[in-house]
Amino acid sequence: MKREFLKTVALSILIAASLLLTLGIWNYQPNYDELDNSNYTNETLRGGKEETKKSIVEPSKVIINSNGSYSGFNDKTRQDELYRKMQDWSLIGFEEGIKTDQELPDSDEYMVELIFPLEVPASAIRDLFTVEDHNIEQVQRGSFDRIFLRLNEDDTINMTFFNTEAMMSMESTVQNANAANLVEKYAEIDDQIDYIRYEAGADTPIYLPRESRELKELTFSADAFTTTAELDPLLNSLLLNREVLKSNRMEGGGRSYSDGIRELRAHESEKYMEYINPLPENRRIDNWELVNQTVNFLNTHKGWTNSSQDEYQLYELNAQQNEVTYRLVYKEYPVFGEMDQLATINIVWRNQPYKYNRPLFQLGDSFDYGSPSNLPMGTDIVNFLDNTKGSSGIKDIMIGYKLVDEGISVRLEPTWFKKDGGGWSELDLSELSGLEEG
Amino acid sequence: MQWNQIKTLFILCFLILDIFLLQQFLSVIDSRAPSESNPYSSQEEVIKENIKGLDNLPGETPKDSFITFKARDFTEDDLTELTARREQDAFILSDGDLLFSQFKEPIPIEADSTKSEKEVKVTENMLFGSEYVYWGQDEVTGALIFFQTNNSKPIYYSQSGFIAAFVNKDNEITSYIQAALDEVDRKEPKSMISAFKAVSNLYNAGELTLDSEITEQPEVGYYSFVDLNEGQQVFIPSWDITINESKHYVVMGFEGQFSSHDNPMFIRNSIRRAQDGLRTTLLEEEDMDYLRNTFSDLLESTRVSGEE
Repeated sequence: MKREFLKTVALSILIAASLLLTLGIWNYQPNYDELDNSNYTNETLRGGKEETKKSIVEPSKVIINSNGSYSGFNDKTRQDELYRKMQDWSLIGFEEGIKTDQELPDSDEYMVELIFPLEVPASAIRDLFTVEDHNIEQVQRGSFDRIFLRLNEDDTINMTFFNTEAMMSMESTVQNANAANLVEKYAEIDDQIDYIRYEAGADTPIYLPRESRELKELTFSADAFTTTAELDPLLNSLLLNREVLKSNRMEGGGRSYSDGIRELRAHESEKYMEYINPLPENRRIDNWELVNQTVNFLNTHKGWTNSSQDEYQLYELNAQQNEVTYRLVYKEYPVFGEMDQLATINIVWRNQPYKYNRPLFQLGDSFDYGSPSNLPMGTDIVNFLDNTKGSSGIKDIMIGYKLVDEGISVRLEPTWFKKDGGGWSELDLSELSGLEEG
Repeated sequence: MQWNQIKTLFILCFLILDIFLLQQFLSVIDSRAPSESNPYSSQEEVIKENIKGLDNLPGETPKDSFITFKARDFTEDDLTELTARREQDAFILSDGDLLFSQFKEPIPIEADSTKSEKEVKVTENMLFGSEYVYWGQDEVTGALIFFQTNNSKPIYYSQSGFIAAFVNKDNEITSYIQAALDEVDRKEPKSMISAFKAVSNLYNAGELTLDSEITEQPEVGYYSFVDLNEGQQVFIPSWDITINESKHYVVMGFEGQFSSHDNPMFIRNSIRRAQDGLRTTLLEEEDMDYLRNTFSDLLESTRVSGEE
């Protein structure tokens, strides 16, 4: 009997051990050194939101092609609607991987073209769309700036992700049965404006609205958050050492905050901040991982301080510098600042923010119904481009708003912007008036 | 089946389960532990193999404090005291934060004079001279650099606590720029990272190459990444790591961030600081013109021959 008793004891011990180990695996937390969190507050930026990767990448233009004539939605919210629905489509394909040396599809081959303001890394496809296919792994290294939708006879849709810089493409198929219906329904919406397809030499075509929409010049109150109390969530999130934090009045107004290592400079009247944390350069990380980490970082202090009509969108990615720029977009029109710090959240990432520059205000109430602007028409722009040297370097042209700082308010002026090798900038039309007169 | 046999079976089953769970548990501990500890030992080996002069590193990990400084203002009374020590034309620049002075009779410095002999010259002929230690010579202009100390530890490469003494061809000090700091506040001492950890930070950041040698024993001083400007600034206990005798890395003693410095760059920046200081000063126009020329001549001398 003694043997049986020992066996009972052994079994009990083993059972107890298995329970303990299971609990251990679930609950194990290493003993980190106690961090001094006494000053830590869980506050976040006033009026700030959280965003997902899915919502910050959007096409800047959606062009509908019907038998060689091009148009786009007059009401830009339609464009957003269609794209959001596309994001729910379930994609398969990609088994051919990245195809190089591709030609752009002929105009009779596709129905809808989506144009993005930057080269989106292919690893984003999985987050932006719904992909249940392992073949997606095969296109991890690519990127795209346009998407073409082709409607087949059998009501399926082919979705081609195209890189117009490298002339490479990735093919996928939409699995949803009603996708073709949806696209056709949107293509038939009456409220559309004509686009001119402008081909500068052998380059990728650029689409410009033929007659500029009646965009108005708008004035908003600028709800600034530049006081120490309002910046508190940022100071926490940026790991400034609160124990030794010193704040000094800056010469041009505003305050600088520093713990001897990191420095945050909040410019009061200009309504933006600069932050620097002297970290050594580190390995380059994957572009989309960079977006992932910076979105998470911004979410921790609710750094997306857009209001209901506007949003921040991913606009530039610089792999060499680990730098990412999120731009303010008002009703689907991008905003470019006279001082661009007022319209962009710019982060250089080295596992933590190394540099972090951002506006310190939110668009508030609109003061008036706006005054009409005398924006040149798309046809004028095309004439202008034809008569201007060096316009072949232009990769895209679109209407956006120029943000002009007026102290307690900001004004948004509809303006033409171009994208070339140096990124986005205002299209210099000073010669345009001269052409008309002459 | 007998209960006895079932028990044996159960014991076997749980034994296997426990072995599995134990293995899982250990891997969880591994993955959640701070990642620093594990690769550290092998990395230590790599650094030991590649970097020379590691025996210069002190073994202990010292404790030191954050110190808050503000700029010390030079006053007219200071100037009176200064000229009583030795005849010199002294000018207060940058709202009192900076002093530039020219000796009527240059002070000879023996070419082979020791550190303390140089420091004696400073103490005898300049203000608050005993607070400064000799740091080194700018190879380009020959200027001597002195850093202000706190608690007898140097304040590294601060444009707010230094003396830059310019010498002529005969190795005599002709003029100098000076700035000084005052302690405002000091926190409780905390443990710093070891000098070896500071070096491995530099190594990991790719700053050290195979021919890097630590040529001096690293010492603790104070450093701030951020300019003092008009207000107060926190300085952080830091290691100075000297590589191949001329390049200096100041590594922050708690978090390990670093910045690199060399003496010629420091001298150039201090002359530029003096030039900027002319904008906020109460001097006569005549003096201003004179100083403007003096500073641009000094800046000219910092150019390496052949560099345009």
